[in-house]
Amino acid sequence: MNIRLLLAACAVILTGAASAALAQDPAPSHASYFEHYEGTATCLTCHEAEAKSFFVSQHYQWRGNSPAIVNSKGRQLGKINTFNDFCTSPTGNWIGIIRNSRGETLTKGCSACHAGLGKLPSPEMSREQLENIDCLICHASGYRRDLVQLEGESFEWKPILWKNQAGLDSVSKRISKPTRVMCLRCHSASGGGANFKRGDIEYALAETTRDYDVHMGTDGVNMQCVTCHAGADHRVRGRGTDLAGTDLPGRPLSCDTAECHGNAPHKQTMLNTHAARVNCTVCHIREFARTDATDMRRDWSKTVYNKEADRYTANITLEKNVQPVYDWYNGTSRAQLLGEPARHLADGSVGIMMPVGARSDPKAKIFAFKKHTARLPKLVDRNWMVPITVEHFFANGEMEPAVKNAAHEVYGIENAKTTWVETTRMMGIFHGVQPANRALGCLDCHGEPGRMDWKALGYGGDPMMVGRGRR
Amino acid sequence: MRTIKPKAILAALWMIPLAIVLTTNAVAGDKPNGKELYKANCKACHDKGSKFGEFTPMTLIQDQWRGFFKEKLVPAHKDVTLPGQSIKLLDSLTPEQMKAIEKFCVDHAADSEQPQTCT
Repeated sequence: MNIRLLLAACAVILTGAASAALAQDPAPSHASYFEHYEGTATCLTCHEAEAKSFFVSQHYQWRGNSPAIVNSKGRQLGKINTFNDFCTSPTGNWIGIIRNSRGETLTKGCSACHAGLGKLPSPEMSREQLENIDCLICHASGYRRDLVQLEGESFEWKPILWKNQAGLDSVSKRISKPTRVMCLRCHSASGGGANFKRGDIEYALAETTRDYDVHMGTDGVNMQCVTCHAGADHRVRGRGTDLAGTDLPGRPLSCDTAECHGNAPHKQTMLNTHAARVNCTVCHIREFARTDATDMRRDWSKTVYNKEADRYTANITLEKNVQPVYDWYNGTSRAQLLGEPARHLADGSVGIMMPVGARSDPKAKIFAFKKHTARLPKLVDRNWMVPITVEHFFANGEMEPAVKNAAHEVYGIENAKTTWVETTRMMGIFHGVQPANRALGCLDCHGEPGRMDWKALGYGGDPMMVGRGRR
Repeated sequence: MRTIKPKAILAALWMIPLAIVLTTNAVAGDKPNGKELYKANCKACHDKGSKFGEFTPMTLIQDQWRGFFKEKLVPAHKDVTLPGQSIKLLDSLTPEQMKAIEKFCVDHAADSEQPQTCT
């Protein structure tokens, strides 16, 4: 038999076996390791070192080294001490049950997606903090939790099976590396609804096809999130373009490294020439929010009352099948931080998180982005942005105290005077990568009308037409 | 003029809840709705604060629900009648309806992708 044919056959068999193995439910790997699950202390019996490594990670601390933020000045940044243009900030919104007038639960706080059991992460390691880590939320198939009010005013996330020890014992022994479903439960639901925040991280990716996502399709290579994103010691590779912290700076994640596709992945030289200045996502992600609509604009200055849900919200504009916008990005970003003068972009809006890069920057490539706009409060006399303590607002619709309370919590300012300003955030789009036969064609960008704004990108016009200086 | 005796009125009133349950259980011609059947037949005795214990689909994990329907349901409920009924609970449900309730419990168990409390 031809050796090439033999090798090809082996590759097909191995790929099929690997796919089948991934498709199966994880075995209850910890069935014989303990009898009863008694909280994180049970895990720490064998995994204290792992808990300590997780404790210092972005997933637990919600802050970390931020070398990719050009104005970080060496500070450790993350969602715990910055703000965003969705639910704005965990400050004042961390934990608690807010109900509407019918007694129905509206929200339980940002900690719903923190891999802890309810305590705020502390920079200081302690036994109490290690036992606050919720290992099962990422590692146990079928584990769910709910917020329980303890005696007094404190709350704790507890397994919904906490009164069913046999059931909890069964679930807590189903330990595996995080699967797509486990990651998507938090990462798809962020921003207040399915796919609201990111746009390209949809629940649909849990069970999808190769045509929908060439990496995660169950009829293809069926890659899990951790296939690309797992680093070492609970550190995650990749920060997108708008995360403040970089969990694993030494091992950046990119399509064009030797471990994945290399920098000349196409058979056609012309396409590889493009790849020198155009990121893969530009051609291979035609649109995002293909299943669930995503939040493209959130105007907190306009209150909307949803009678059916008996809930107040910001005025949110959802869109589906959204075409990305394109901009230069060199791997670094500029963040609008709390307590610093608001920086206005050319269009007058405040840039919450903007990619750094330009045509003249040799390290920059054109990337695909979701452009999210919002309207947020700003202090009148200090030019500082202010988050909103949104939790009670969801129930009572009173925005003014929600803003004043946030100004007090963040800056210690009483009775703050604020005004509303437009904001812009550019969010890199990296998931939902489609195979070559569904990628953009030449005329999608170089036709009339094309999807590129050549002048905004620093060209005199379409470089295919202008010709010279096309790079 | 014809008069209606009080006994007949009482008998008719007793028939109303039975008719409601039987109508709910029949769901004429359509696929049985497990959630509605659960609400009509299980919640009556297993709601929050009930002396028989609160049970919702997410009280148990999928394996526990399968085991319950296979081995425990019949012995534990063989003499049960719903409040205001004379017909026994298990006699009022068809095998298809029982399967629908089981499917609802398993699909929304504590370790399912969509745990539910049946509200």
